[in-house]
Amino acid sequence: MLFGFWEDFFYYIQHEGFERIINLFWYFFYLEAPRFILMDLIVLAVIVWPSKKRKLKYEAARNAFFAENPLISIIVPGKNEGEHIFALVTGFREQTYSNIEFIIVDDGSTDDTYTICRNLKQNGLIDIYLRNEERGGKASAANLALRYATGKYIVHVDADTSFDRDAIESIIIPFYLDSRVGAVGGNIKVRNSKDSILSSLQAIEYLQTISVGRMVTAYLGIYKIVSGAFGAFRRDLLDRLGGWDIGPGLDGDITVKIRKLGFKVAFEHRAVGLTQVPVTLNKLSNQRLRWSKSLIRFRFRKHNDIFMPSQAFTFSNFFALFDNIFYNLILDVLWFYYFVDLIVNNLEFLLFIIPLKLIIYSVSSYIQFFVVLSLSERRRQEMRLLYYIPLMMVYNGYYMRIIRSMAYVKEIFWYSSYNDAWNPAKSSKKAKEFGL
Amino acid sequence: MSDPIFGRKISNDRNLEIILINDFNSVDIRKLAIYDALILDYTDRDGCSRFVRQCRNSMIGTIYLMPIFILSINHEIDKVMEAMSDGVVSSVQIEAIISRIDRIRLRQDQLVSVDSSSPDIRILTKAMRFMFTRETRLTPVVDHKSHIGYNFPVISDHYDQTNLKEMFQLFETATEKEYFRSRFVDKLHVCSSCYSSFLNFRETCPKCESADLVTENLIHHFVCAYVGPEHDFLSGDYLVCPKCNRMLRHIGVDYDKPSLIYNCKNCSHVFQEPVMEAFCFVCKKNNSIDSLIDVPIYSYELTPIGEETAQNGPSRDVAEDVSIPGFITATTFNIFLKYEIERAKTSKESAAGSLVIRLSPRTRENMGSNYNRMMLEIADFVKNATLSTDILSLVNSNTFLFISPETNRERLDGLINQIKGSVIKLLESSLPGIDIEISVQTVTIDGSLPQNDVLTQLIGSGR
Repeated sequence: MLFGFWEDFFYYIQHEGFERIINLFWYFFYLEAPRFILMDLIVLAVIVWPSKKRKLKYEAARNAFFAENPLISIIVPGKNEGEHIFALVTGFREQTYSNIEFIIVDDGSTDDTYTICRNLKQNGLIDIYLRNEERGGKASAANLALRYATGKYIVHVDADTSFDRDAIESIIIPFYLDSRVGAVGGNIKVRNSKDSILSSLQAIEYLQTISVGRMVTAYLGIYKIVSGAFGAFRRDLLDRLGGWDIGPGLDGDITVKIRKLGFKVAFEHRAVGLTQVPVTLNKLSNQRLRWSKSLIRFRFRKHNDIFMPSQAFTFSNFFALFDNIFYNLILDVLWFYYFVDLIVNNLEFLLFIIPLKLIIYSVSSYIQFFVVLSLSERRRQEMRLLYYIPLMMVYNGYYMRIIRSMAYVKEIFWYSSYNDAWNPAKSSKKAKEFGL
Repeated sequence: MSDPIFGRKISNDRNLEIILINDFNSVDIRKLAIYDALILDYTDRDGCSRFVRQCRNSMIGTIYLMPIFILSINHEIDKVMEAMSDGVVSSVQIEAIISRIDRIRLRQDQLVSVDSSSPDIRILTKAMRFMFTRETRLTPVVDHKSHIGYNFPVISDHYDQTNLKEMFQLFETATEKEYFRSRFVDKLHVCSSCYSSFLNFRETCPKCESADLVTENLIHHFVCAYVGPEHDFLSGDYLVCPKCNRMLRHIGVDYDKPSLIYNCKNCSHVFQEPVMEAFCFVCKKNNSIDSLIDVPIYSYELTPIGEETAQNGPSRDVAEDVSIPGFITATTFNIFLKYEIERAKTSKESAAGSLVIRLSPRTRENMGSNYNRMMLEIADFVKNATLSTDILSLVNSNTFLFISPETNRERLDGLINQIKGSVIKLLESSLPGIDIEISVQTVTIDGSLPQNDVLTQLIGSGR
């Protein structure tokens, strides 16, 4: 019977023909594949192509950095991160670059953060520990750290992230490669990928969208989000901007603001940080709803001037946000049309279309993943994720799309990010009042 | 008696030798022993204070136990002086103090002379005798001139101000030996190096230890999430956000002050938790708060054992009861007594008893070191006369205590009285004409009486 199905399946493909199949899955072949496979392959080929000149330039930048030996301020704003602090602080002692100051801002924690940090400070492992009894939100905590940081560069990290030994060195070198670089994003991977299927899928997603995706967008000059978990900034630029604005999505917001100042934003795939991702569906959904709402709030509303012809208009900024909005918001709407159209007009062939779609998406995911592995510094550990690739169609294609769409609707019509408990009500109320 | 040498004699119906002294420079305190009491004129404050101290600091019993009253009409008396004296009078009408003098003298007559080369024992005996003759507690008096802020009248002056630890050790020993019962008065934090409580508690920079710190409120501007110290926002009388230029009008609505920040003016370090230090004005040591020594200050009263010991003295040879096989220390005896009282609540009753041997002070003095030998012989006799299950203690130089577990009081009473008869016979045969008094007390331990009451019945009521 199974043999019979596959016989029919191949007959169906043969009968339909290559052109008809491409037209059937037009959404994939015309919109997704060129952007996420073809473009990635071309750009990566250029980036990784061995170049002696590039290597020498990198060495020169590294030498200049170590010769100057600037103070780097590591700032860690957070609430109830007690369980991660010790590992974070002791981990930083392993860094290849040592001229760092460590600033932790405890934003009204109710766990044992205070006791742990106090102890670490007494033992000289933290330079500055500041605690606000009253929670002010992540942006205010980061700004407080910035206010008292004395380093030339500020590295913003999340407490639950850990770092490769050369991560600080790697994330700062791009500033010495190009003086127009204002901020550098670090390469975030998943530490707890073995915790659940969901965390394994996120590990694949991070590798595709961050490790590779951001290499490509950064090369094209349209990289628009320096991750809050690991990002480096020129201190003078942060001072000009007055630091971070109220989130959620404050990391994307500050990146856009730096771009608006006319500075480049780089991505450094060699600066690796490992982060803890949600392992339950509920927590993951809440996290992604929050992230997706910020697309509307910041890209669509707060920074909509990027699309307007003005003195500060630049094509790279325009495309950075356009790429983001087009592929997330506009194509989401289009996808629903495509999805319904595919089902309604091919009802009698659904039995063949579903496996065909799965095969197409899996093949494309495998291609993407092999590209990832070819660039990865820890490909042996990441190899196990190959088993989960076929599930990515459901994860990316359906689950993430639905969560994104829900977030957009909630934010467009109900401004729901202003009610998010992630920020204290006093701040959200003011942000809403002033349309920020 | 002839005319007083140092002052004016105050006549009284009882013919007591009481003199009023107002010129303290001419007084030789060694010659004061002939008087029954002194009244000191407080007009010369310093002279009077010096004189009282001189008397009380003497190690001669007749001098330091001398009844001393201070005559002061208008002056307010220094509290330490008041505590060292036996009272303040506003006129030389002495009727009011006669009974007090009598009482002190009467109790003074009960004291047996004690010789000890140990300074600690001499000071302890002195403290106990002062308390015994005055029927008072040893109560610390607030005194800013003392390094610890408290003065223990009659005792403190014997200790170097920088070495008061020894004084507290003496009190601790006396309490452990059940001579003293303590009552909490205060708790001190003293310098770990010199025991002084003259400390300056100050906040210092955790980095450079400077105390030159400035504090400032942090301000959080809600709209733009800028957070900084208050001076970032100050613009004349107004608060203006340095990031977004908006005016901050209303606390709780536009902004709040989430915490306080310290800035070290010496090294520019920023922090929120200064290090607390205690600088000692005496030895100049910077103490960390954790290193300060906690010293509880107690007032002390004599226990029944203490009263007995005050009279007969804590003889080093005999009272160190651990040295006599078969006898336990007073502290251990108390622990046994406590357990026995608890045990008797649910089990068979027991009995406790005492045998107190009192010689007249004159006989005791005549015996000299033979007294200790005699007590050791009696101890040996007591041990042989009792059962091996009986618990025995020689709590001071003349008091034996007994616990007979699961024994009725009559048996123990009979046994101790038997011992008493034998001891009297023994002493009279070896020391004919000896002036001796032996008292026996027994009490039933059935759990109804607390430990202190049992001890009071055994020793306190025997006098």
